[in-house]
Amino acid sequence: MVSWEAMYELVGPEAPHIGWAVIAQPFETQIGDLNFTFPMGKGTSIYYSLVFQLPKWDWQVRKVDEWVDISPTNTQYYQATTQQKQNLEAIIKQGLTSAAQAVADLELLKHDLRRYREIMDYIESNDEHALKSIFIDQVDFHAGGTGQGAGRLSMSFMQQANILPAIVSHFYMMNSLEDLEKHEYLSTLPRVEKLMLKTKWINYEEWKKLFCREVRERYQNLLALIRSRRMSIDEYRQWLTPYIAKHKLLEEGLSRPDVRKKWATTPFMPQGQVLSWQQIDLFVWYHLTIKEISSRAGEVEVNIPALDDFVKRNFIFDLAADFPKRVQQKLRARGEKSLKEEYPWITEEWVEKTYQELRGTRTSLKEIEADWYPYYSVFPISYIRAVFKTPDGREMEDITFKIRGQLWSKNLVLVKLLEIKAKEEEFNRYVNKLLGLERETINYRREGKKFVTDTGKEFDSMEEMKKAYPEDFYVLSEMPVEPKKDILRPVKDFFDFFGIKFFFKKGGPYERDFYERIPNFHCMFVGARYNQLINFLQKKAGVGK
Amino acid sequence: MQKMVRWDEKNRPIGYILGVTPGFAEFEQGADKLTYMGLARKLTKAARLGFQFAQIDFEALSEMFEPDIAKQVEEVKRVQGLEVGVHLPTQMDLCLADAFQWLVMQEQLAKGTEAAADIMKAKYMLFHSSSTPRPNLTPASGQRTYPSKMVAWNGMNLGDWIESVGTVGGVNLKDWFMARFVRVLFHAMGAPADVGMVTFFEDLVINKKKYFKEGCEIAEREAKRLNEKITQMAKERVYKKKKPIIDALDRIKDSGKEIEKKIVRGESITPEEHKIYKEYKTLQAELSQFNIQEQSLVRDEADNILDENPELHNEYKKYFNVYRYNHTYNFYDVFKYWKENGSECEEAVAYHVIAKWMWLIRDPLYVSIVDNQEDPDKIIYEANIKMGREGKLTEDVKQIICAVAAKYIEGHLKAKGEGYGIPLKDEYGRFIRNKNGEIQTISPMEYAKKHNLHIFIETNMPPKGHEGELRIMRATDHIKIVKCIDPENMSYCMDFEHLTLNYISPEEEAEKIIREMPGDAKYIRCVHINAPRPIAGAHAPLPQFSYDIYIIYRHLYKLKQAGMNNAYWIWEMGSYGVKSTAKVFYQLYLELVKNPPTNPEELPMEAFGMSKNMLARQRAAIMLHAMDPIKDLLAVPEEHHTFFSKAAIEKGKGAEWARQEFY
Repeated sequence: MVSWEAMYELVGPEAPHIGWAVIAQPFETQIGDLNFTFPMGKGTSIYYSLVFQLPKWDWQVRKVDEWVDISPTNTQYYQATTQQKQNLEAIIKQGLTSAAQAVADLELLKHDLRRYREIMDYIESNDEHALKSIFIDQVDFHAGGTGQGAGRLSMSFMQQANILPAIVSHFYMMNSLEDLEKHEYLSTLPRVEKLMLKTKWINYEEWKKLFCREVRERYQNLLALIRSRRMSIDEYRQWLTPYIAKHKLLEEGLSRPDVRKKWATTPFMPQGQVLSWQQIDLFVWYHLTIKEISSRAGEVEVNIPALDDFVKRNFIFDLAADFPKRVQQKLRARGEKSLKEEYPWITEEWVEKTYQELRGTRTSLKEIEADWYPYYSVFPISYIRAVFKTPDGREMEDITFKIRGQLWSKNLVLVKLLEIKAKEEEFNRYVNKLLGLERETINYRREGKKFVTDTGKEFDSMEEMKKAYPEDFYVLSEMPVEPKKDILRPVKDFFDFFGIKFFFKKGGPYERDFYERIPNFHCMFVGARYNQLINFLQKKAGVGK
Repeated sequence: MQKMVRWDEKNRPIGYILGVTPGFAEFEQGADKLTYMGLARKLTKAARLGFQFAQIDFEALSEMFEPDIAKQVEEVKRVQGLEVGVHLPTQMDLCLADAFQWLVMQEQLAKGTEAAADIMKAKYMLFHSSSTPRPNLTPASGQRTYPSKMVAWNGMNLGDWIESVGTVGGVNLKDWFMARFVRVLFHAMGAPADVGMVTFFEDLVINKKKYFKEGCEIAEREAKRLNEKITQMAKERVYKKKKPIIDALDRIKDSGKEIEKKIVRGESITPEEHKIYKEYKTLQAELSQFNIQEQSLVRDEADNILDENPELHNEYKKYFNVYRYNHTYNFYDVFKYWKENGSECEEAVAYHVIAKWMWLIRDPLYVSIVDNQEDPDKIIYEANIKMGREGKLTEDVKQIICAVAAKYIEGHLKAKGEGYGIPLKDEYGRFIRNKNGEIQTISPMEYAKKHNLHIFIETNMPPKGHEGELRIMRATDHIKIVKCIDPENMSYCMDFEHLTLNYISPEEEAEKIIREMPGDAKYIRCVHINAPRPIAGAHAPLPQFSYDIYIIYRHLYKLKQAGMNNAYWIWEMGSYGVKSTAKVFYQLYLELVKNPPTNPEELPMEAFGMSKNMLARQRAAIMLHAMDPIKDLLAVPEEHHTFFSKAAIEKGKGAEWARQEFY
């Protein structure tokens, strides 16, 4: 996932400012310990007040993360959460078993459908040769049989036992009974073989009528069955989704490596005490309207769409593709990933479609309100709630808000919103994965004549790659971003090596004059909204009263 | 199956009887080998193969000595309602002249006849006519055989029999034999045969119809005559040399005597007289010397004459050689010695002797089998020297061998006497003896006749590499043999597989019978039928729906045209089981007994096994499995047993249904 820190590194104040994106974090608009300790319920009230208030200001808000950790000594709360999670697990397991059976049944039906389809193709294309093969190998084969090998009245047996060694070939040659009397070759066959072929042909014709009619009918029935089975799987999915969702949302802090690590040394989590810890991360944003922007030379193209090539190449489909390798390597070392790397299934189509869904119009504001709002004030808020119960029975809530007030260009906001959408969709995919309906996506790039996956495996051809990743289990997705043919790249890397910034020759549509304009105009608004937010929380907490 | 099987008063089949051989127990697999070991046990197997009649193979004659075997066989026959025929050991060969072999075969024949008649109470006994390749009467007619003690066709010591025959057709057989086979007498002496002797007599026998005694006389006479002639010529030559001396002496003889008187009287002689006297004495001395050497000179001259006249020399040598040998050895004593020591010679010699005798007495076997009725001496001689130029002669020799082999069979069948015949026993099983205490015997043929046991001779399959080289093979020859030996109690069994193995087409034989021996296929009272696979021991079953059915029917149809209306059809079991053969036999039977019998080219479906039942079962099976192509589907498979088996499955008998659905 691309953190805002990564964005800050690439397009923040310290980055070359040539207008491809903007992110700014004034020193004054950040607080890590807006902390209050209340009697039970008061801290929760403030949180709810906040999330109800933000929309009233027209600010957009999304929960982007949540986890909880409860000590088992907090019996009541533990029962209400962890125990509930275990109950959910049992329900999900049971549901998954049924759902998996339904999926398996569907797969069986699909297999059968393929077989029927194959036969239907023979019938529809009047492929006599194929039908004769079926008749010889699977029907007549049993004539006179006792279950072991070809029956002794079958053509297969007569051929194998050398009784009528060429009867099968001759049967294939036949087009009608008349051939036995008139065909240049067939008419010369020994009488015994002609008589046998005659009986076989009559039976073949009779079988063909019966079989074809039956196959047609059953094919239709099978289609109906498949439709029905699909519906039942959908039903299972629908039924399971809330349980899985609940389970997923009840994420325990200790399932996260960073929390586990922290919990080992933090003095705030004595395991012998009754306490609980909860963290919710919110992403809040609202557009900025700056009067001057349209009259300044540096911002001539503010109406361009939020989804641009820059974010595609550096945040969505690849990470810092336009930046020096060293930068890219540094980010990857920190665990930063592009959206596509985090969610391999996303495609250009999905990105485009989601962008259109997020994009508002002049009359209908949506998450990305409209093309003419180039900047947003963005507030990543962490809400941390600790509940303590002392041995004498008192309980208290200790809440902490970590808030940053930032300025983001709209294309970066879009990246974050795409990430939130991907996360939401990932949730559905997670359910599908549990049901076994999801195929793993393998991303690859064409490098010359080779196909290289994002895990570094190389293949000489598409066929070879498909063999390694069968269609039944994998989706092969070509990475749409190719490294720019940047003739200056060696030069950039050269300067980069010596720590000298090499500026992009052509700038982007956003503000390039960072230090002259951003703090003076843009950040002013961010600061005002930051204060509005802090004031609201302090007021609700009764600070100063 | 068909109506009850029937036989006539001589136990010959009436109509066609469909039979089977259960084969050899030793060829069974695993425990079955034990299950079917022994005559009675083999019979139980035959009873279950679906035929009307059983032919039981003797694997070893010792099978007849199994305790209480007669009772066992009787019980099985009674319970199974099955009549039987007996196939004597396959290796039996009644055509061999080797004395020991002849005796062994005779013992097998005698015991086999007893077993067939007394133990099996069989309708017939059957043996192979010939199992060994021909002897080489000529280089091309057969294989070389080892010298051994030989017997005549009837089991007598060959030499003894030759003497016993005496003179037939104006020829003393011993006299002929000593001339024709003087080499045998040389061999008896342990000496290589003298080529001059052999060729002298060969020429005499073949070209002049003169034999040993006369040959010796001729040789002596001619030798003496030529000797005189040559001596005379030599003497004349010597005299020619002597005469000038005599003449010269005569001219001066008187003068010389007068001068000699003067000298005796002491009178003086003139130099002239001295000269004359000296010449006179010299001539006298020369003549005297000549007279002393004359014998020697004549001999020398005789040699010169022989040297100068090769033809005269050869002629002289020829006669002189014979004359000399005849005076050196007493060939009559040699013959006696040869005879008394078992008449050792090659089998070809014995065959030749019997052939000559058969020709001389106009033996019916010889007359009917051999086309070329010239003296066999001449045929054999010419076939020898014209090998590679006149192949027909070799064929003539093969016919001669066939006739002689047949005679040996006759000899076996008719041989009696202690050691050869079957001892007669009283009701208590004791041997019946004559007043001299000798055991009374009866020949196998008489014994068979007495027990209404029909005799079949059958073409055998040849040893590998000797296809077409057996002594008796053709159906036509076999028919001639049975007609000659006993047409009432003996018949031919035609084995399609064995004939083709010997390069003989059963159908061509049938056509030959139609052409040359009309109606004589009635003597074919048994056919051994297997799928036409001319590989030794194939004995393949007849599969339904096969071309084999057509081929076999064509054979049978042709034989019926040739007159075979009453016969056993025996299918011989190999290692491959009976399969559908019984059914196929019946199908063929139904077509052949129609009036008129069905033309092979118009055989109906039923004849190939495509009966209404089969067609119904085929259709049922196809319909039963009509949906099988979609049977193995994963979600909506066609039920294996379909609605036919619903009841069976409900009773938990699905698996049984699957096994039994066609029964």
